[in-house]
Amino acid sequence: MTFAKREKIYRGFSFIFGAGIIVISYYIGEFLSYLIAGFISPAVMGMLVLFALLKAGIIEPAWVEIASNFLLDNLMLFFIPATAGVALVPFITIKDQAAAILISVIISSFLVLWIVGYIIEKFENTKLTNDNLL
Amino acid sequence: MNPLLEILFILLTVTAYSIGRFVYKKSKIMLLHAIIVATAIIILFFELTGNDIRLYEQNTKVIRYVLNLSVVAFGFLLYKNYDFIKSRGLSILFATFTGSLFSIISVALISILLGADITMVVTLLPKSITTPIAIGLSEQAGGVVYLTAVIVILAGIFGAVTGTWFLKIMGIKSGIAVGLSLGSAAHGIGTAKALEMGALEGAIGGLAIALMGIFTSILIPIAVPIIHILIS
Repeated sequence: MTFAKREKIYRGFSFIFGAGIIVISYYIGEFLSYLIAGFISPAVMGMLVLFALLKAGIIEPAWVEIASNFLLDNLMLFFIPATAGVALVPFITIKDQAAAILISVIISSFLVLWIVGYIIEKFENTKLTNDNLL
Repeated sequence: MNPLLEILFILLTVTAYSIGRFVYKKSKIMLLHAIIVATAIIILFFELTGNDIRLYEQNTKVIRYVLNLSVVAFGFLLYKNYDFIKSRGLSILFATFTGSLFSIISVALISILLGADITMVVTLLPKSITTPIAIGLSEQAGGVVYLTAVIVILAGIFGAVTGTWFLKIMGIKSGIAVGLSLGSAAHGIGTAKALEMGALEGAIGGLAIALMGIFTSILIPIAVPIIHILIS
């Protein structure tokens, strides 16, 4: 067996194994989410579960690396069924409020982008100056 | 759920996405972002073939499930960038909390001023957070759930498409600030954009989704009675 072939098989197994761990994390997350009455969604809870498992050393980062990178690299693709749902909105029923919706969402989005970025940037700058002084 | 349609729609989605990515790469025009082009292709496909797009909605369960798994995968990015994030824990918490507060107050005030009714205002409140949490909150507050889902997607696309440009104009440059901003204002779609810039930006975007979800879940139940008073 050539090295390249062996590498391919290893990556394939690693992908399946990693995907399995991610699926298990998701179901643990779903259970925890159920326990707190859905206050945090199953997927976000699953993310915290995967992080906790890695941090506790129960699973090795290398085990989930290939599967995680695959999922993250194609993240936009997985959103398409949700975005296509836009076509289902009966726009005629919200026509009168369309301007209010669009303008408030646009301004509010810019505001959130700015305030979050601004606060972090301020903290980062003071951190840098402090580091320089020390 | 029809397994044959599921497979067919996975192929359709991947094709539409590949075309979208190609168009965006060649044109570099924000409005031709891969996700917008791909969505347009899918909608056009159903329009032209005369099929109901509800068919697509109902038979893309596999992709929707994988979307959940990719949110879980952010746990891996968080772990890899843990030390960096930990060193900035307080500023990240403070920034996302303020972001959540600003999001709720601004969207409520502006939509009220522009004449939206109470149902519409509460429908808009969770616009900056990830869809599953947003839907739950909208329902709890008495909003129109499917409309919340659409607004969340629109806010996500809008934030992802204009975010990097807007932040550059505002002089916000550091990777951590850009990642956290995109994740806070535009949840998963913004984070996908942040991920294109780097793994650290992506990890912080993922963290922003979680924190925004948590803070907004706490703030909306407090905001709703106040909005009721404001409107009446």
